[in-house]
Amino acid sequence: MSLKLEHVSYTYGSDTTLAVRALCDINLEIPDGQFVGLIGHTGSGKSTLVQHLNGLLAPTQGTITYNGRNIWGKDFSKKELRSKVGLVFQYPEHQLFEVDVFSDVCFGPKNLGLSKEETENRAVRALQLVGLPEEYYKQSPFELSGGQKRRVAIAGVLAMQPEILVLDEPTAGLDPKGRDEILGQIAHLKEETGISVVLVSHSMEDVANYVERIVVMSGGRILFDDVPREVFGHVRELEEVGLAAPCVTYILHRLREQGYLVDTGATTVLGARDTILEALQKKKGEERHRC
Amino acid sequence: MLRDITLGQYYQTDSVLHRMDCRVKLVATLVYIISLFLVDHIGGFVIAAVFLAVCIRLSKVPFSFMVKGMKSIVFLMLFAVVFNLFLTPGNPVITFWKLRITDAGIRMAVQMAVRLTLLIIGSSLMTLTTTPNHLTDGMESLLKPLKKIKVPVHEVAMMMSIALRFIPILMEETDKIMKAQIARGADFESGNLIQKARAMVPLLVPLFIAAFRRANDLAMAMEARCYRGGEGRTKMKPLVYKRNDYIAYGALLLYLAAALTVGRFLPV
Amino acid sequence: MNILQTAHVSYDYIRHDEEGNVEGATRAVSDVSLSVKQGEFIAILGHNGSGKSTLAKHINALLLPTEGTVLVDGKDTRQEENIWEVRQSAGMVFQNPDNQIIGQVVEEDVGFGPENMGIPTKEIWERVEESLRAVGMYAYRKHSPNKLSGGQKQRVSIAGVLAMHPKCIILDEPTAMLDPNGRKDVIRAARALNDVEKVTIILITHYMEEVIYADRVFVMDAGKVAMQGSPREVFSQVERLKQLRLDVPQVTLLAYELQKSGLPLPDGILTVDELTEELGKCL
Repeated sequence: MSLKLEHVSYTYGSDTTLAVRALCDINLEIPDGQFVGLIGHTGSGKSTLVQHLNGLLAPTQGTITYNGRNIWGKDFSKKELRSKVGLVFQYPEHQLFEVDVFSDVCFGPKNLGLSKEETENRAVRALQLVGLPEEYYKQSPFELSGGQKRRVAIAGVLAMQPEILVLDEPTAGLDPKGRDEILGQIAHLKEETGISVVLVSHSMEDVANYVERIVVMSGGRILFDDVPREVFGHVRELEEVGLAAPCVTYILHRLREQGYLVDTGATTVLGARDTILEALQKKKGEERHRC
Repeated sequence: MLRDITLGQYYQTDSVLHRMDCRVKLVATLVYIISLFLVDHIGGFVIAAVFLAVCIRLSKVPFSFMVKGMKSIVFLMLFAVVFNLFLTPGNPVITFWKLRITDAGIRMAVQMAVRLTLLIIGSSLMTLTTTPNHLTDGMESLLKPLKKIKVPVHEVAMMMSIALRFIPILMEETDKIMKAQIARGADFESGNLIQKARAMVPLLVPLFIAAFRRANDLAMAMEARCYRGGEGRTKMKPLVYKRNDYIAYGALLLYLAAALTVGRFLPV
Repeated sequence: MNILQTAHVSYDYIRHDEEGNVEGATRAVSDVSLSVKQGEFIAILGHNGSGKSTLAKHINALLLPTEGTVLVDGKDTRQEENIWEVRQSAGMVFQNPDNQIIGQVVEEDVGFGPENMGIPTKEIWERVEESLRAVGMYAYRKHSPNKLSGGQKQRVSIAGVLAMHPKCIILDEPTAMLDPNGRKDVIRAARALNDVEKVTIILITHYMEEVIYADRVFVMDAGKVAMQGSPREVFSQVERLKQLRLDVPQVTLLAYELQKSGLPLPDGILTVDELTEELGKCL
């Protein structure tokens, strides 16, 4: 089971004189059960790429296959693809429209033509996965808080029971606690269901704590595609394309320059703490020897 | 797809037309539109088309940009043409079943197509070369006499200019919501008319909410910047006629005279 | 002199039922008293729904207090005749860059405020130019706002306020919808205005990294001021901030974790330089 992009390019307005190349020779595979971070600044092509994953945009060149079948082949139904690859847009709460939370979450499965019972089962399960308590089910989505609305919107996509869940900036506009809660919930639902999650973000800090693989985009191309510690090792290159490594990476690099034997590959605050403590111990030991 | 509607979108460049006083452009557009409906001689249409072509040339707006805007209204034009083609009485040229195409019908249909094309390009040329703020100023200035009979000229003009500014933003918003609902399995294309209408609900509700939220925010932002209607307001770009503007009025008069009288000098 | 002085300010949002009758009230701001001196850089932190934006709208007289008084440059916002002077001396920049730009060309938008104030044409042009230069957007003066990035749009909005020659600018979550680069540019522009033009800045945000340069920080929770002090004082209280649904900058958090593991570091470390220096002392 996997989604595979091979030599995918995309040009906006290719039939006009104002053609803009947004994607250029993208090769990417999203296997089962992986937590992937997709990073790039505004205009790097990440939003365009995301829309290719569930067939909202068709590549100008190259092929996209799902489980080995071309998604733009005649026998591949777009609806089926969209149920397999769930896409949560930025500020997803802005697309809520139903009179109550529960009906809104039912919208997706209903469109798939499922029975009423199955639809409702899926809606309940999805709302449980995003951690929304039952007393909200019959409330109007417009009366909820920002963070709750966003959960409802994510549940709306989860109810289609996708195998790959793509979230475009799920934490935009949330306060720090809200951000941690949503990311924690996403990590939790990934554990519980075993689906693949693609987290689109421009915050390295957000991504560093959760994902096992980072894809960095710039100018419509993939710049890096590796585990976080390797990607963050390229501090200079990241800065050149207008991105920054997590703050702790900078601290560790600075300490290293000053002669502390820290592991600059640590990407989280706790990882950094451990390696700093270790390095301090070592340094103290050395100085004792010298005396 | 929705982004292709260029009607009403300002095209940023520097040209004689961009710098021209917006009152001239408003009057000229109005005169031009009226002239299109007064003209019924082929020579008149040729002059009208040439006049427009010269203006487009002067505006430095690429023609392809304008044509892109036309695509969205082709349906409307076809409708008008077909309507005229079949429903104008006269000598039948082709008859089949209950439909009759008459010589007068063909003439009317062709005229209508030419008129509409010129009208749409002509009026979009104005909005392409004039910022909404200028448009507001121009309309306000031209309609000033109406203030005497308590017509809120400034407010109406401001409303129109803001509506124009938000068209592209709301288009983008529609596109985004549409894609989001498609990602949830929504289908806006298939089904009969009722099914299609029903499929619009998930699109329209969020769109209206978004529009209201924007309107609310914008009203607040305007108030925060001391907006309180037209009273006591000064202008950053006050309207002063310059030499070019008088020349433009002259050219307009010449055009009008030529377009309306050409029929008398030329045999059909 | 204090540019802003609030005394026991409370504000209730009135809820209406479907017939338009008053159903109840939600207290969004509750008994807030604070004063800001001319030229200060103030940050107001708080989670979503803590009342920080509601408070901000009081400073610009967009909202009037249910109880208490708000004095802007010595003028009571509740006096109807003061309202335009208040709005001119305390300008406001909002969160969504798309919903506050009125003009279709950058320079026309910046001129909108001065036009409303009845400034003579020649002076409007001078103000527009100097304001756009101050935020580094002069090169874009003829551009359409729709073609700018989020950060550029917000800087145009700041210029639009600056052209009204305010004594104080309130930035209500100006960076919430921007990417990291846009965020940096906006904050840099705000700091420059404070340093060079001596404009009082009141920055409302929930990004911790943006407030470390502030002179004073207020933290709001449930409509009240829950904490206040210098950034260092506020960020020393990591646990308290977490209770308030907030965070500390990553450097501060790392220092805090190291401290908990037994290193003798001082409270409230704010920058990478400070941390490396203090670690040197630990040897």
